[in-house]
Amino acid sequence: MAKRGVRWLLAMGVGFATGACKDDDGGGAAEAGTTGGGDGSSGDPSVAESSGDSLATADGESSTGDGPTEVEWVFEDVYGVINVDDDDENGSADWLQVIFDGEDDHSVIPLPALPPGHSARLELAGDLEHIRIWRGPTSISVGAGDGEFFETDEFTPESDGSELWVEFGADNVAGSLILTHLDADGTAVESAEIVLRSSPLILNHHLQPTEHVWVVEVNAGYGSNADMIADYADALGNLFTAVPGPQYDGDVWIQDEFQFAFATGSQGQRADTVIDSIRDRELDPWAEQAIEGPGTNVRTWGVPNQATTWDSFGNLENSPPVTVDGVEYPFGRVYYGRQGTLGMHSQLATKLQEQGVQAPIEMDTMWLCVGHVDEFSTFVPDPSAPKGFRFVISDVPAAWAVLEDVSSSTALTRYGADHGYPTVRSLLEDTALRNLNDDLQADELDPILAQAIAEFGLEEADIIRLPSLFESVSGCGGGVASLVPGMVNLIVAPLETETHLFIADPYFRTDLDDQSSDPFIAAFNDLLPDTLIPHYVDDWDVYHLAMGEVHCGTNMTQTPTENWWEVGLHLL
Amino acid sequence: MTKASTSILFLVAGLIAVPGCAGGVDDGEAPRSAAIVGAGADDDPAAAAAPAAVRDWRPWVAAELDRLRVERAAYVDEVMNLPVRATRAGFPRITGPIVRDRDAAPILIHRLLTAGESAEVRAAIVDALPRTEGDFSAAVAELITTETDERVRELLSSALARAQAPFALEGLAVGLTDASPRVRAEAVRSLGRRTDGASLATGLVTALGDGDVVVQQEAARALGNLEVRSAADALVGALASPDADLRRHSLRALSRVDPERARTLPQLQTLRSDPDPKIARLADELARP
Repeated sequence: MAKRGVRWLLAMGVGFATGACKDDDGGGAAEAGTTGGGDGSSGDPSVAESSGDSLATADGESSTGDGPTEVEWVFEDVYGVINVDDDDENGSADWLQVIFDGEDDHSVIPLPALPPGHSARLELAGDLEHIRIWRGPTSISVGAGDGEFFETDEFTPESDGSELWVEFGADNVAGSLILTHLDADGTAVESAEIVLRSSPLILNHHLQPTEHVWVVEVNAGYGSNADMIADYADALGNLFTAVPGPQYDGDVWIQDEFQFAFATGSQGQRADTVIDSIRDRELDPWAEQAIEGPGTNVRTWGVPNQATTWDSFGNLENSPPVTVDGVEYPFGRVYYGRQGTLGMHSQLATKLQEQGVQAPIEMDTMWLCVGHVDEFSTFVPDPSAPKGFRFVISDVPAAWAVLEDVSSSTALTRYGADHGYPTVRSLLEDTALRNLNDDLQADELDPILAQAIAEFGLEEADIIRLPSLFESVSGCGGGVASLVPGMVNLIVAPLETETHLFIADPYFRTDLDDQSSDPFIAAFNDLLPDTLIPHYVDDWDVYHLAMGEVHCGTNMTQTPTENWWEVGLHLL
Repeated sequence: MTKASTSILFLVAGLIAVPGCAGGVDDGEAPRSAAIVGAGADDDPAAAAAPAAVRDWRPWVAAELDRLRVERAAYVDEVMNLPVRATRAGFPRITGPIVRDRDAAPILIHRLLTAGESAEVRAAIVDALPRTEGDFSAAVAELITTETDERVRELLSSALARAQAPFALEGLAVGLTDASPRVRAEAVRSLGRRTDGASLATGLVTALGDGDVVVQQEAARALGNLEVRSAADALVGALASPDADLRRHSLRALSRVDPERARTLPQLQTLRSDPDPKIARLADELARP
């Protein structure tokens, strides 16, 4: 157990009872648990062994003369979830408490009834600091105890059978439990080895069903997002909630502050984690106030006073399931901006690497003022695509093609004041702008696409090149941001029968009310799969002019669709 | 204009080569660059509608404030009290429909001078000025000579990219010689975006040898954008820099100011093996027949 946990238990006056300290009243077979060391073997090579899902039946001869009793000594492997939420809502993580009514994050190992006088021996190996096995609500058998780690225990199950409760205190930890059936003389009758493993922390991807969507609602001097809020509400109904902006001082960047992740267990458990960024701006308390509770914990990796723009979670994305060089990644691959020592904080980067199943990829985002991967790339579902999705990436030549297809005298109502480009001609004739964008394509976007092809295992047919233009940002050291609102920075919301996309309205037109006259919208609609329902929402004042777009201002929870212990163990 | 700022402008005037004058635009060619120009300098309706900038800007601001306090009193209060908001990058900005109004310019300038706000807020005010499409040119050009905060001067340099001539060039000439490399780099960027930026070609070539490598990189980019042919030798010299970004920007700039020289450059073979893949790729492209 972590020292912090021990201190808490002492402070609260709550202590774990362990098998080692408790008199066994079921037949006197209990022994003090031994601490430290040990190789996890049964200690009796002659004993019959079964493991995992294999079936082995043994006849136990009762020393009390009651005759042989058939005992089925078979156990399922345990794939569980971390138990650091707060199911009893007492302000303390459940891992730091005894098992209580309503606790639902532990896994159960049913023990069969044994003949009178027989007992069970437990030997735990692996990550003893983060695995604990209870043989009653307050009695630890093996694993992390009250400041000690117990490797072995013996006890007599109840006459009608007992349950062992397996609890995990960390993500992606593993151990093995050898359960041995002992006769009345203490001789091993049969052994079974059980795999114990907690779920890795898994990030959602864009193909998973939508559970809930949030946007921070603001109406201030810099603008209102009422229309965007209405678009979300119309499309998603009660799956959408507007977060009151004034309560968070107008911090609309809800994507940046939090990343939703999940853990699942083979006994139906689900433990959600809100990864709370070290960004720590005004929205920081929202997850604790609105989301944290039974089933959902809030955790942070990194050092807040070392936070950089790359620690915001527009800079933490995940692909749909991919196969790369023959290796299947059924939960996709995580990607974020980091180059050398610059980028996402190393503590979180390391944490993500350690999860194994999503094999993170580091990309170069240093050329952007904000520096997030969601500024130039995303994934959208497409059932007709070879892989079931398309990779969308910003593309400069596609944007020039759009511009050259429209009349150069077209007035751009929204671009004059805010960007200094009142007409299409003013864009086309700006040599510096053309050079900047052409150079970005050659130096940044082309290499990123090549990397994406290699590391997501993409082919040309999987790629959508989205017309995009960037501009240098005042006072940002040469970093760039979207000039035409970044349509790539979109939200995918798959529902039961349809999938909605929420995309920044590019407003590349004269009549702001007529989206049908917008060549950028037309170009994207031509590229998008027909199965998607695009909503081009007004994010100009609230997001675009502050160097973000729709994705930056939205967050969502999604439903896990695959079981990692069935499809992901090859990565662990 | 104050005497102090007038003196500073006089001192830097030697850096500014006015188009049409001897030693003016490099090679006598008209600059073929950015669309960002002085009022009425192209046929964009919005630009043509912009009134000429006022040089004697302090009395103009005072008069505009007097007028607006009568005609739009609530609006004056609104702009004076409009809060800054954090961008996604973290630094603050003032944006939105309230500042998309030419009348916002004199109010923001008044706020900049009188409200006693933090440097961060003053930087955001300066950043907002171009978005008003109002007249801020002479004010910004002068204030860069008197402003003590580096961040504010950086944003003043940036705002000058959208300011009217001749004030923009006067202010950017000051920016090129600023003590802060961030301000110098921003001044160079702004020049690279202006169609008349080559008027300060000499200053840009000087910046290519700046003590700060970011200023050097930006100078190379600006010289390429402005197609300053006389910078070719200096750009070739910069190809030997230990800084990869400077080598890349210099090679690309050379390909813009003198494409034939770039294609036949003796160093091109070496650059094709540059450890920086971006440079190697660019050199490969240039070497293709």
